[in-house]
Amino acid sequence: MEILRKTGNQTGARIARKEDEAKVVSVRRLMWLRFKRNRLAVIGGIFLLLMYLAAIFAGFIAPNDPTMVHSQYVSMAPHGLNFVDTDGNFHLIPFVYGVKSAVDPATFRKTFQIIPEEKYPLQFFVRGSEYTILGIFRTDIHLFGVEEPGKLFLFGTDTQGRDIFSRVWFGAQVSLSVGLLGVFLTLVFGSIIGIASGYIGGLFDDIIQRVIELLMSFPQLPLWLALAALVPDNWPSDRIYFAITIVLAILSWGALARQTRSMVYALREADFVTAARYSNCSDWRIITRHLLPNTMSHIIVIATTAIPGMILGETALSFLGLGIRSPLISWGLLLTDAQHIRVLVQQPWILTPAIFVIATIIAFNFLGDGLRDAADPFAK
Amino acid sequence: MMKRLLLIALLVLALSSTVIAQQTYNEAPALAEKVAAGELPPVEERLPPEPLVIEPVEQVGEYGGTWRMLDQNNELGFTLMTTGVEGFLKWNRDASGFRPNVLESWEWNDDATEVTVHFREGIRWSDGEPLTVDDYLFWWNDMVLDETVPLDPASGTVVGGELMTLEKIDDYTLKFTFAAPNPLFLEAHSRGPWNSSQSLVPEHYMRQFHPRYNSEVTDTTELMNRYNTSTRLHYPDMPTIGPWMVTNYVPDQLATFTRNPYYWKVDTEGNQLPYIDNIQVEIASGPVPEQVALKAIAGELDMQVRDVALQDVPLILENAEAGNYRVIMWDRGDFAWPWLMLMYDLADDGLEDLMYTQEFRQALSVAINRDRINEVTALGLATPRQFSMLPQAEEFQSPEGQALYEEWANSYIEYDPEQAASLLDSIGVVDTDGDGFRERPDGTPLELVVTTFPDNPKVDQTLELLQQDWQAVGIKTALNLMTWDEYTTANQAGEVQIFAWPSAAGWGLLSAPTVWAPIEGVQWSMAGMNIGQYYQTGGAEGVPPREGSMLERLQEAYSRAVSATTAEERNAALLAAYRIHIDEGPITIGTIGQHPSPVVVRNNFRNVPETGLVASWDLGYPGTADPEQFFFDQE
Amino acid sequence: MTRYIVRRLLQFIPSMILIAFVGFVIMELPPGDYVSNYIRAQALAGNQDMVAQEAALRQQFGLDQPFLIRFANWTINLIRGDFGISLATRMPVSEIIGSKLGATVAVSLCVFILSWAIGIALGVYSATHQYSKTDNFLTTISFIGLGLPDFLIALAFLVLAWQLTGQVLTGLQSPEFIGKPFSIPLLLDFLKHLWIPVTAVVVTGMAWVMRVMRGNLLNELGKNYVTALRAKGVPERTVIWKHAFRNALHPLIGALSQTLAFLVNGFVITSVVLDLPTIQVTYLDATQAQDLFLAGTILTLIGFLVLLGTLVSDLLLAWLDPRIRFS
Repeated sequence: MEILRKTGNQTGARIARKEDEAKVVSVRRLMWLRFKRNRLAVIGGIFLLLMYLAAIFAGFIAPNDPTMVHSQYVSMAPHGLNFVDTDGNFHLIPFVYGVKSAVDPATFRKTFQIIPEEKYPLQFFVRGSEYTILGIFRTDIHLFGVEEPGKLFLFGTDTQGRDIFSRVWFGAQVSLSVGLLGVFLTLVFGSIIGIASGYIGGLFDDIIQRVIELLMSFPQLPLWLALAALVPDNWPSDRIYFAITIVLAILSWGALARQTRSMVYALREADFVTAARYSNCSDWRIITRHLLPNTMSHIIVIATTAIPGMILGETALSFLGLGIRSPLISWGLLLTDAQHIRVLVQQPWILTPAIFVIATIIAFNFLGDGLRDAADPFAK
Repeated sequence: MMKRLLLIALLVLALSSTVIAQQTYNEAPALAEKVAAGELPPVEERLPPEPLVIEPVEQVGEYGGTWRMLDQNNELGFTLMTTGVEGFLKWNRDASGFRPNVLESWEWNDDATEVTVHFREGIRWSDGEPLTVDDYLFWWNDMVLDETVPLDPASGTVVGGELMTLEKIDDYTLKFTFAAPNPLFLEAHSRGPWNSSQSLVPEHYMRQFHPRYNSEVTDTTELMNRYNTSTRLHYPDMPTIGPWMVTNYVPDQLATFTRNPYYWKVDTEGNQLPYIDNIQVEIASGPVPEQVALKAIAGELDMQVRDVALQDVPLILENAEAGNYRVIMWDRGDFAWPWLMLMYDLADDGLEDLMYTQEFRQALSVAINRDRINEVTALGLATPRQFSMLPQAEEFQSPEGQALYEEWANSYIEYDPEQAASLLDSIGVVDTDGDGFRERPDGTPLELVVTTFPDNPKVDQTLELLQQDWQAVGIKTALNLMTWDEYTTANQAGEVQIFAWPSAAGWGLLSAPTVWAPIEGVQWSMAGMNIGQYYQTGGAEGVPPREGSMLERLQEAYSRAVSATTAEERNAALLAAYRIHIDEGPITIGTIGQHPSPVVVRNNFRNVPETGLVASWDLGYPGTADPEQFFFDQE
Repeated sequence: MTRYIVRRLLQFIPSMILIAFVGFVIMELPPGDYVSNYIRAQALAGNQDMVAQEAALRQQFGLDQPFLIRFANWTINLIRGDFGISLATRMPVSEIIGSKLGATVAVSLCVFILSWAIGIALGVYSATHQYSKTDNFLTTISFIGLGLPDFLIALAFLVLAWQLTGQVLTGLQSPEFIGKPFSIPLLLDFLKHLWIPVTAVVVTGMAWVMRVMRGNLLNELGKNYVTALRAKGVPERTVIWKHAFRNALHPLIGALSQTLAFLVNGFVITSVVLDLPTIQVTYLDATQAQDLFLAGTILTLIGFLVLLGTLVSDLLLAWLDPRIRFS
């Protein structure tokens, strides 16, 4: 705490000094410049941007209805796009083969055989199942697809014969937004309480700190279990989605509040706050005009690093059978489908969603790291 | 049926007296050593004068080996049913009926109100004390009838509202008297690891924990812990009459068993059973089927009956050679997984009208794409079928029984959405407001809610498909989950419309007849708890079904069947009852059933029968398959 | 210092009571109770007689009494050292917890030591070689560690171990050693099983420690006193290890309480997947079955440990950093 206060002072002083020297470059611009230097962070940021865009346009990207059961194609390995056919001819537009399924009589395993005569070239902007974008635009145009009765399962199908590729993008809608929404709620709870606690201090601060301590000392798992058990089984899935978000937020606001508080604690003694106080600024004005902007960058950094925790939290809840429920799709749910020995040994393609989870979390971490470094543009 | 049983009993008696009477008996080497060391009496003295002879499934086995298996936390049902199903009678290995077990023979009076049973003489507890009718009487007099012991009478012991009465004739003869005919008492009292298997307690041992006999004991906790099957394992000193006795129990981790030196059954060559020396049960928590799958393909299981997931069958079969095991497909023994209980006592009168409309029910049934459910949830290995009893049931064994079975199991199961639509059209369930969903005949919206218990992925998957099927014919469908308590309350309030029951049950009059006729006010009662309650209380409580409805007729048909005293009469009455399910059906809707239940068996683990019905504990598998005659082929 | 300790100790007691209370309430909140869960399982298995025993069971377990009386009874017994019985196995709770403690502590300690040792070492290296190739590599590795869902790691390790050794290494002991007295073969068998859970948890735990360490040390290294020391010609090694490193450790010590919490219940999913005989699995099972006293006691115990961790870390910090004592 003491350490932070010191840095706060210095930063404040340094900002003043630096601005004297080079007025042309704003702090914000400095941050941006510094951020840009960190290539991994930039890549992470771009990747996330793409992921979120893809999640918004999931219905457009996904060639299939994610809940559609293709009972003839249960647990089918990806049978990707081909440029070269079985006769060795090259096709400019990739195509998929028709597939015939049979059951191995000895092991009851479904086997799939391509039918070389049946080729379904990839088509763009095709009509398919209906979907909505952001719940507003209703359409049935998909980015790509193949003509019926051809089937396009880029990542294969799961044990219920649903298209994993499509499910990944619809799952992203839930999982990525759970992180954002959860963090937003956390921010609201955490920063208000943290700033208030740090600024007001005294008994109020003491009580809040004890409560946070208690919350944080409370083992997470029982809290998860308990809160999730409180969500009635018979709620519709969208309401469960919000409940899960709130559960995740409730469990993480404490840490954020603590960090914000210690920052405010440090800033409270900073020269510019003292100056503001002497010029008869109201508490509200000091908080909103001075403390909030000064802590905001840190809060955003903390928030960025909190999102991966939420995404993983959602997968953990799903694992325990307490998370998002079908027909909603989340990455946690997709991973739960994958946690079988048979998947690891026989059907590894069902694990594809894990790649997206891991990639997203790595990207968030890189981004968070970059932001943290950038938030303090005058550091080494 | 009774005649047949008697016949079997006599046959076994005859067999044992002619073939074995002169024989000396063999025993496991380990026991022979103990006898030589003077720690045990010789095998002839440990066995009854006429031990029960078990015909091996394949061949006479050899002694030795440790049977490794895996079981679930806490319940340990598989363990229990391997080592502890020794009741009055025992199911035949193919579950076609019962054979004598602890009881050697029995005689009913003509109106089936009295039965005199003869215990097999000379059965000994695993500590060497003889088993007599006093052991059973202790359970009845000192536990059930004792107010201080929190134990209620078992089913079948209360008839017509009155407790049965027991009369001890001699050490091995007991007379049961009932207030009304109770012809299936012995069979019903011999199901599963409960009933008489649980009621035969060692009196000489239990007395020390009963406040009445031991003034130092203040409460019944110790007594009940030894009585309850789930906690018995904690007490290795508690005598048993099962083939193996527990030696070590580390909760959540391990239970080990060793042979009972006083086991009272022999094979056809006079070898004392069991063949296998020890059982080692690893107790797993968490996703048990995953651990079973991995242990199976690694060849670390000798025989595993339960918790083998159907979805894992391809994985397990592909590794069978490397793991040196085979897979025997037993039957889950379910007539539907799940079955859809339509409720006929609803707070919503309009919906109740629809439920009573046969066309509506038929439309619901034919709108279900059962083949798709089969492909997606069961690898296509189950059987699409209507809600009907299992083909193994005794009443289906006659030609007319088989014909009726075929008709019933296949009624209204052909997937035909167009027929469903026209059926719905014909009763005025049409889409009047153009939202794509049909309204009720009076024009108000129709939405069906299908409820089930949480935590059963297979049922969840089935219901999701069902929802799609019903929506496809224009019936708006919602899925709902309820806990046991919520379900009970909602059912009694008439707020459950359709319930998907996830487990298997027995059949006919044994086990749970209330799944096909409204007779009891319990959660698994067809038509709803209130209607069952009405009949159970003789009209004092509950809600009657509509007058002249099929439910009334079903209940009447059930009453005829249950009071029949001969097997022919009973079977005929049952078939007549099932006929109602066809003619006015479906009354409860089936999905897919008779799921195969894979059993992983090590290649040198022999004498495992090819059939078995696993799901309902009532049937007591693998105990019913006589695990005492399983053996390891040592070559 | 004494005043500070006394103050912290006094705060300890109400927190403890609150934790116990909340823990108990949490167990009560979901609909139904142990008996209704048990009855359902029995009914589904076919034991229909059990349903008739519902009231008798509830009475036997004292579940028919009002909530506050149950809580009061339980708390009083708890203080007396009687933790009650597990409803599922009817075994004394203390016995169950005692039987799990060994495995839990063993795994936790290994995880703790390894993840901190490796995490700190890599963190220091990474911070002192910021933006070097190795740093980028370590950073990426640690992010992958943070991003892997734990059940996947555990499951993958299990399958991998099977493919390598042909053995299924669930649990912490082979069945022939369970419940047996200590011996060298038993220890070897234990170690053979131990590496899977420990590695699986260390992968994530280490990544976390490493990230924190790296961030803190970078922070310290950017400070004026470091520049001053360097200017004075103090060897870099001394600057890093004697000065910056020590200061960078403070926040980690501050996080000790959370670390304890992590150690006690952080690897529950790994435990479940690998079927470890640890207290986490017991707790999860107990909660799901609403095994009231067992779950409540474990919860209180965990809360106690974590509060203790907070206390210890606060005292440690106060001892290391005199400014805290007087603030």
